[in-house]
Amino acid sequence: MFVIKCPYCGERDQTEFSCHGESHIARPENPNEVGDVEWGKYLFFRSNPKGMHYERWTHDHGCRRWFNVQRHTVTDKIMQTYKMGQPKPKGIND
Amino acid sequence: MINRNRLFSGGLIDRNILIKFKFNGKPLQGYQGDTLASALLANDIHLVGRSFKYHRPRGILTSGSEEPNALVQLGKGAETEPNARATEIELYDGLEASSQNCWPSVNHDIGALNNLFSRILPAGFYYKTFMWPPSMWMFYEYFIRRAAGLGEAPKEKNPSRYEQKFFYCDVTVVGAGVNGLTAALTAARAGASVLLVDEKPELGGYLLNAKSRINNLDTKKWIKDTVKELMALENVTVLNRTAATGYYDYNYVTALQKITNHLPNSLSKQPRERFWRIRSKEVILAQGAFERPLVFSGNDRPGIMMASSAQTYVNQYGVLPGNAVTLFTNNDHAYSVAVDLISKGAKVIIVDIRSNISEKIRKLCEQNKIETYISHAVIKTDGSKKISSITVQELSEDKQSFVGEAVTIGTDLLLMSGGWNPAVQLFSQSRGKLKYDDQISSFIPDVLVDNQAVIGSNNGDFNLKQSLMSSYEAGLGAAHRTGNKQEVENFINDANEPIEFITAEVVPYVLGSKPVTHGSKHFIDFQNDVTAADIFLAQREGYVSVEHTKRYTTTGMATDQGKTSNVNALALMSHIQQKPVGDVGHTTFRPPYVPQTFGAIAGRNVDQYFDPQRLTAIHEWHIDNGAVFEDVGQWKRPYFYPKKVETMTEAVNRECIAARASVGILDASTLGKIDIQGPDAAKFLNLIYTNAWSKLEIGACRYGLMCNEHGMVFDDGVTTRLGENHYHMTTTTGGAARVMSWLEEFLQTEWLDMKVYCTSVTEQWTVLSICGPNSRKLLASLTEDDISNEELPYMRMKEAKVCGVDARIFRISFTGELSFEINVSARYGRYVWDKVIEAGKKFNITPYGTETMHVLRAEKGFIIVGQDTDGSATPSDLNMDWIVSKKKEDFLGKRSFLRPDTAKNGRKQLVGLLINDKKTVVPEGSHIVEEVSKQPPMKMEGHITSSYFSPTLGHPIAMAMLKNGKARNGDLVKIPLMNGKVVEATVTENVFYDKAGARQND
Amino acid sequence: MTNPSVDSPLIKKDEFRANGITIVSTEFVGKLNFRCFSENTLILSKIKNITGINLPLNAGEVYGNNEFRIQWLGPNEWIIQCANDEKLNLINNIKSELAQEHYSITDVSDYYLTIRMSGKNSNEILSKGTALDLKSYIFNKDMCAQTYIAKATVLIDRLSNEPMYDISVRWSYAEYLWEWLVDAAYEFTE
Repeated sequence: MFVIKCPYCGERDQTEFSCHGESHIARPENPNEVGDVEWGKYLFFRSNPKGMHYERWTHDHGCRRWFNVQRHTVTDKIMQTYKMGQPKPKGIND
Repeated sequence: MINRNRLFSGGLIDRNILIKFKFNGKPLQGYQGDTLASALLANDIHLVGRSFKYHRPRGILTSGSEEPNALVQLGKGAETEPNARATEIELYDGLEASSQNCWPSVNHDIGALNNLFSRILPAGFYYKTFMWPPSMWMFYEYFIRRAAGLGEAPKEKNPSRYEQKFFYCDVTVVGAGVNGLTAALTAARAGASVLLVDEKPELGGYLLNAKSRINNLDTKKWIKDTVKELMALENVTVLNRTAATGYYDYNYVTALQKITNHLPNSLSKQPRERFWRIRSKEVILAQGAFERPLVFSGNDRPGIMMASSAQTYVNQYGVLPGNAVTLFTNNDHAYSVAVDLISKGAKVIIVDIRSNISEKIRKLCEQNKIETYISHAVIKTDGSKKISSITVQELSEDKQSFVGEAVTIGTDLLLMSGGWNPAVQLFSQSRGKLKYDDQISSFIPDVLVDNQAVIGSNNGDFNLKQSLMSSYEAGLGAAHRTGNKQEVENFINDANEPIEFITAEVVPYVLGSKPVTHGSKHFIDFQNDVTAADIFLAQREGYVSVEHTKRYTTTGMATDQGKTSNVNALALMSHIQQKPVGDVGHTTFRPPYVPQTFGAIAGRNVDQYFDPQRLTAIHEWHIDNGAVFEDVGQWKRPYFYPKKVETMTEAVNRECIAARASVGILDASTLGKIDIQGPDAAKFLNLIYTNAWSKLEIGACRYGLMCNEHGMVFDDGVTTRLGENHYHMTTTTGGAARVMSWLEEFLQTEWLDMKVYCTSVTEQWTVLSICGPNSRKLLASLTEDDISNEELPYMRMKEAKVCGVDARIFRISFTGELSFEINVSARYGRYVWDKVIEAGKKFNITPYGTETMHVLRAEKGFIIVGQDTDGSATPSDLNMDWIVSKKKEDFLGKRSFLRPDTAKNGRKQLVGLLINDKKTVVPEGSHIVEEVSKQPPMKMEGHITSSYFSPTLGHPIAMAMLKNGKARNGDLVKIPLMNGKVVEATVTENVFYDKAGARQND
Repeated sequence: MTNPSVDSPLIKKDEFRANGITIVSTEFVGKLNFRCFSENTLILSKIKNITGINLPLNAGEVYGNNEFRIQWLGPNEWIIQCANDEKLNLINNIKSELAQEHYSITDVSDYYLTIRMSGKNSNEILSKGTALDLKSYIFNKDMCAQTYIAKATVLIDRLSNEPMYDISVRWSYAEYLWEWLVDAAYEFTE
């Protein structure tokens, strides 16, 4: 059970949050101009790294904001949390 | 003296308070401060239970939570607790306990026949024997479950209360032995908030019973002073009778506090147990170590005990469990136990497996007149219900054979001391890495996780003074790292033990009079009856990995999780496989560290608190008017309102007819409602819904369909434009939270610049939905505002006063009738409802529930998302192409309509079905098959999503998802039912009633 | 027509008292959900003009005066509380003052019902149901936090340095939460 630092509220228990999968997957600007393969990647394909993972969480029982979490999938250590719209950070063990 | 084995003085029991209890129905007495185990031993009762598999007589092996043998059924009736460890049960007046796994009694147990047949019950016996034929498993299982077993679970509902508590602190110290006390006090003096937990009632740990000294004080005195200081500090929470049960990520520790378990028939309002969920910045583990048994033939009889436990019974409980004592050991430390027992009048013989003992030990034996058998082993034990004699024989130098003759010695208490295993279970749960330490022959912590320390014997550190110094450092370090920087002087000046534990070689097994693999019982796991022979068998049969051996033999899988057995099992595997124990590895330790009641895990999340019930403002009226409720998510919604003798069908038919004939009323407050504001609101709706929103006038309502990015319908509802940049969205009852999250997801993660705010207002509004040809007349009688068809036409909203209350009236319809959804602030909801009901009497207003709503909408062919859809239907599949904008550049889901799979032929599509016999209401979920055969499998081509009897039409109607359904109007389809009957139905369009919509538009 | 009467699941609840615990329901007040970009200084100053208090910009802050109390919900979201009969005035004021700005104001006066719990054992009750670290978050007056208690999402607002909390919960969960709190206080009953 993690302690997650909401970028807005501070450190809270994991039970206040929910996870919504991998982050930094932008919706194509113009879906109509995107081929099936690329659209399929946007819809279905996700990385499944042993190591650094970037994922979206929401503070459901809190400020209701979405934010990003950089987490190591082996140690479950959360390296950092950052706001939506901020660029993907470079991980040391990336 | 009331107890045969009770000493006249000494120990922490109170000889002035006599306690009466019963064991197996026999009235017995003990003292305040006894455990059930110490009281039984005081009464010279060694036989406590029968073993799990062979039903062998078993006694009391230990004095703590690691006890594998002395499991009892505690209490009776609803509060009975199975598999309670006698060594942990505090004695209270009126306690009743009984032996488990024996019939008719522990002394005469028929199941003990298993012991005679044990040659044919090796490891894997059940796997090998009862696998074939598979169909017989249910039959075998019945007998196996009866034969093998532990205690009985209570059959009645548990009347006790169990509480939970979240707790935060700087430093949690697990274990209040002298090291835990030192660390806790240091951290507390430095200013940290400290939680100290210990599973025992009495703080102090093992050294409560030993003749050690700290700072030139008797340990007992030092412990007492330290505990007193800790208790007095405001920043310290001390929990005794509290076992840390789990240790998870980010220093999350769970602990089970026993509160009233030890009190007789407690009338206290305190809960029986409290489950603590502890989050602390630093955790210090100081759980100590378990003494390791020796693996020799017949090592499981009642009267065989761990040496340190005998010491505890003598020194803490004033009980001398035997008089003619033999101590079987491989290390120096056990000799201190001998000295303690001799001082209480016991005669002690020591059998030491080592070839040599030190000069110091030799002198000690001389001084205390201890007879020693050096380089000897106990090769056999005898005695039926309790040990009566042992046989010892000298071992060769390499310990692989015997020299000399076997000698039989009368013994009524055999003590084992095979070294010590640090209690690394919690450490390991926290993902700490272990390593094998050759000096103590056991696993010790190696790589720690963040913000953690392990101290004392828990860390394999058995030197008292050194470990106390480390504990001080650990306490100080933890305090400093949590920002508590006060300097604390080291308060440990000196400490010593009479005989220290320094080293012990692990003994895979001790040679017996018979070969270990044939006819002898060298027990490794006492609770699961796993012997050395079973480990040999597993290796022979190829189950050589530690995980395989564990599961094949079940060693370490009992309720004690192998606290006494694991290292011995690994040592034997290492011996057989000829590789170091460290390379054999160890299995994963999992929570809970000690057995934990379900009650504590559930806490108060039982009965009405198991899942919240969400109630509308009209709820009490529904109850008063006989509603039967349906759960929709967490909401309680009226399902139907039966009159006295009505069946559900009768009630629903009546409600349907009333709604179509005059006026019906539905509590629609549960619909999700979202207030949407901002200059980009219309643009946002255009992206969220499949249809177009740019041209919606202020005051107009529009139905919308939402798809996910896969193009699948996931919610629907009516959205109304309230103002220039202001919309009121409704969602399905069950989808409200999902939709809100969906909107926020896109606003917060994709379209960050879009100027839109969404606010849930579901409960702000009570929604009274009235429908039927008389609904306008009814509403007109309650408002002075103009609600004529011209002023308030279909799909419009008007703000008006209803019954003097500000309301939004939406002219929308889910039933196909003339309909008004009256929204008022929730506080006025009940008031307006009552007024509407009152005024509606002259129209025979009929409240209806969700079932009638479903029938009425099905007659109109309206879908229910989540009932007619299952997340795999596109709008086109639902025959709803009309609501998908062709002009809009983009909306969520649009691109996926072009995916080959979404656009292909042969998809299931929504159709209406008319059942040909005009009588049968086909169960929802029934399959439509291509060809009917006598029995499944049959090739399926669709399924029924909605099915009702339509009282309006006088026959059943159904909706189905059918392969290529849109092209199959008029086809005959076959629906086999569970009872073997096959129903035929004709495919039709899914609107059954008022296709032109004249009634709702009127 | 008679004056419309108000109702709620909490109105009928009797004050609950146990050792160190008092639980009461509160009267309806105006509660407005207000949202805007927190760096829009124009909006910030207008709100200050209208209410006399600033929108709190730090997590968990509550600002209040005799007329208004503003609770921080998130980086762009607040609850503005006012007297029940001041609500419409306030909405209209805000609407006319901020006409050209991007903001939203939504009446949630009935969306939330508020339970007031006070007494020295209040934290014991809260810690049974919420994973919130009470020592780090709502340890003093004028601090608030959104979290959950048992299985209901709540907004907890600390009203005084002695433990006294206003616990706001969605209307539909109010009955559940009231009963849960009272039941949690069982061990403190006489």
